[in-house]
Amino acid sequence: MSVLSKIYESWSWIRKEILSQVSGKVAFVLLIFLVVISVYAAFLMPPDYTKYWDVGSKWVDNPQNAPPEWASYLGYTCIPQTYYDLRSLKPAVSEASARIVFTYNITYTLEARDFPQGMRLKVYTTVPQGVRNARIRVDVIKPDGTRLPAIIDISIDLTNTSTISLTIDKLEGIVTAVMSAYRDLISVLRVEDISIFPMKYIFGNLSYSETLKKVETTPLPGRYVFVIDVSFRVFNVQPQEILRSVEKSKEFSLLIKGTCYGLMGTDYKGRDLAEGLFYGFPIALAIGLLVALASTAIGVVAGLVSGYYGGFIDESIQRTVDVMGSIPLLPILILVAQSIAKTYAGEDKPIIMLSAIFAVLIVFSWGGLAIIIRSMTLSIKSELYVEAAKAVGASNLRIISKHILPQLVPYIAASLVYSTPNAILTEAGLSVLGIKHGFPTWGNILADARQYGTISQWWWILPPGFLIALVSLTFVLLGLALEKVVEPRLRR
Amino acid sequence: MHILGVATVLARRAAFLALALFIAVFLTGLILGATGYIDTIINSIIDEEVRAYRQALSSSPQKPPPDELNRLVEQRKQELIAYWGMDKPWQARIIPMILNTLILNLGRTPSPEVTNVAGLMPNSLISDIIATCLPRTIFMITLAEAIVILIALVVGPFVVYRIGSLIDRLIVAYAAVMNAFPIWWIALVMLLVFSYSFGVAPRQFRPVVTYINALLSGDITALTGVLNYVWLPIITIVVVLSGPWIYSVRAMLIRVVKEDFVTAAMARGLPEKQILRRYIIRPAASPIVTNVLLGLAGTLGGYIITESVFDWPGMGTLYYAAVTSGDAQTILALTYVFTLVYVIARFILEVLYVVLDPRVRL
Repeated sequence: MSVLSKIYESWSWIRKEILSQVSGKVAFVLLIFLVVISVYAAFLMPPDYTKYWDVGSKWVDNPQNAPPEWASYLGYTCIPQTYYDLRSLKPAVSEASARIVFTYNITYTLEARDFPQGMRLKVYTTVPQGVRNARIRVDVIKPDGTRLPAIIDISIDLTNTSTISLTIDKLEGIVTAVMSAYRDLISVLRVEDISIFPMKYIFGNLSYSETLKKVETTPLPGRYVFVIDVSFRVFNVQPQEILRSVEKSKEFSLLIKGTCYGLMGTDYKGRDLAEGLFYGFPIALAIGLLVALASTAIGVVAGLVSGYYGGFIDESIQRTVDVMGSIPLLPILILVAQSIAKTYAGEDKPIIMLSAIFAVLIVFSWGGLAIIIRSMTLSIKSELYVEAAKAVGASNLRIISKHILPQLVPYIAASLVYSTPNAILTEAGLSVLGIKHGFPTWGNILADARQYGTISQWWWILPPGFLIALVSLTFVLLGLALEKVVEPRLRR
Repeated sequence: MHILGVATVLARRAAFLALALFIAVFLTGLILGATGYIDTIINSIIDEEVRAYRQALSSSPQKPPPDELNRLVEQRKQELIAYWGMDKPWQARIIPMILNTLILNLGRTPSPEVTNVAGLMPNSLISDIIATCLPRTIFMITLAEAIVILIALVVGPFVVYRIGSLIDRLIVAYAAVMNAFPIWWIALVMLLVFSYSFGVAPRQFRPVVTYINALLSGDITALTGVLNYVWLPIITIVVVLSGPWIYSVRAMLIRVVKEDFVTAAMARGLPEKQILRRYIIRPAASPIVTNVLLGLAGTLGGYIITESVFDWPGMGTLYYAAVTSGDAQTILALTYVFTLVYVIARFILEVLYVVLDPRVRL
């Protein structure tokens, strides 16, 4: 108990000293900010986050390589993501030859001079018994009045099932629709162009360029109407019944993909970078602290043993530190990480690779602290009160824990703080180099940016680096403040 | 008596540094072998050759019958296995390699990726490759580090008399911020800004090779070409490293400035310059020299990540190419060279300590 209270005393003194300095105050505020965000993110983090980030099904709806929405202030032409929940809309109901038809007219306004990245119609619903067949057809009326008929036309057989589960993002009917709407261009329209870039033909102005000998598309801003006809062939079912089931469906929506997304933009898979960065907080802090704690613990024990017991143990620990200090760390790290990356193929590869990287880091980074602790232990050991304690018959353990350890607390704290960014920076550095472990850290986002992005995608490259730097700045500032505690000569 | 004592101390240090060198190379070999990395690489090389051989046989005009073809392919495979030594355990292959490396018999590289970094013919001598890549690293990273050190040695003493002043606080803040940013990330930002947004710096840095080669063969006019490429990486490194370097020189000087004998010198009213020269530089010299020498020695291995960001074909990129292509011979050679440079620097320091610090001689 008394040891703990001594350490606590030491800690509250350190805290007071830190808070009396500007750098300490800034570090404290940053640290609280980091901890709060990390705890919050850790609570919200989806289970099996690695998989969620890697193959998350929700990413397909997002535009890919999209800058953040506020990039429009930087001169980017931004089309926002537009989502229509068709369940809440009242369709026009009509009946014709044993079919009930719901017609939704959806107006979409294209303001920017650019093309949306895509569109997607999603239906997930259960229809009442007696519905034999459903058909979904989408027409587009362009601002200039051109009507593209049946860019989607799909028929679902419901004789054996009553569930419709559909995600349509390929516009099967686009080629025929464009061909029939632009009869004057039919001889020069190219099927491949239309099927590769359907959005250009839906949201564009078509004109034939004599010089290029092909059809040119330029974005056509204005009001578009999507006419969605959902028709059911029914047997003894009232329209109201179907309408109710449509309103209650799990999903019934039209999405026009934008070219900008959210707060932080997206990457090449359409992943929301804001999410990746947010969940990166607890991961970064965890790996930083874990590695720092481990190497500090080893350093303290080795230093204490070395300084207190002396002799052969001391000599061998000192020489080990010496030898390890001469071995180039980064090349060894790269080699270990790459070797595992190439030879290990298990499901848990990300964790195995990260653990190996951190193990190497820990093994190579306790030496500096061990030497400081050793020299301090040596000087404390020769103090009179330690000799007195020995004379009274205090055990070694008691002397170490009661007389020596409490005095070392500021040094241990400083070392812990200084080494925390180590693991985060190393992990990110290796990722940037191209050695990918696949665990969704900030470094991993950067690695993807280097591999799959171009350097001009600043929203993908800059934020992870900033956050890495922010975390390390926090601990550097904290370390600066602590340094004045351990080295009073640095004070004014 | 004293001389003998010093010699024993130095010999002991030399022995331990040599041990460190052995351990570094052995450890590298152990990682390569025990993880199965070189086996994976060699197996894929063998598989590829066997596949190509089968392809060649079955598409040749005198196509042998299936049984004969299989026998020939199997025979070729066994030959390859024997050639690469895959019939022996990895220890039997790695240990001779390690020993050869230790006697500086570096051999040739089988990896085209490695020769590609140097821009030499396939199967070149590893010593030639290192000799080609080292100047490129020196022109960028060592030069930058030297500039940083120069700045730190000028600014450090300047601020040490002004501890707590505005300029001192700014320098400490700058050092803290720059300590937090990894160089490679600043490098990415610099590329983004200067090469892509403003277009004033090159986007591809590999072509610098031509100018460096010309410069090395005595063509002074190639210097402008080299500078054209090298300025951005050098500025990047100087911007990032100056902060921490100034800070550490400042910290080393402060420890001395707070000593009583300096206070006494100040009390006697000696001029700042004289105090600096007579009372501060000498005691602070040994940690500063340590940092300078180890810092410069460390640059010769290249900053692997930063070189990779700039795609600068120096020692760091060379090492990374060796690691990704699994070229054990080059990896061992480079680890040996990196450690050797460091160990030599450490030994020079040991000798310098004896020269600089009379207490060691007592």
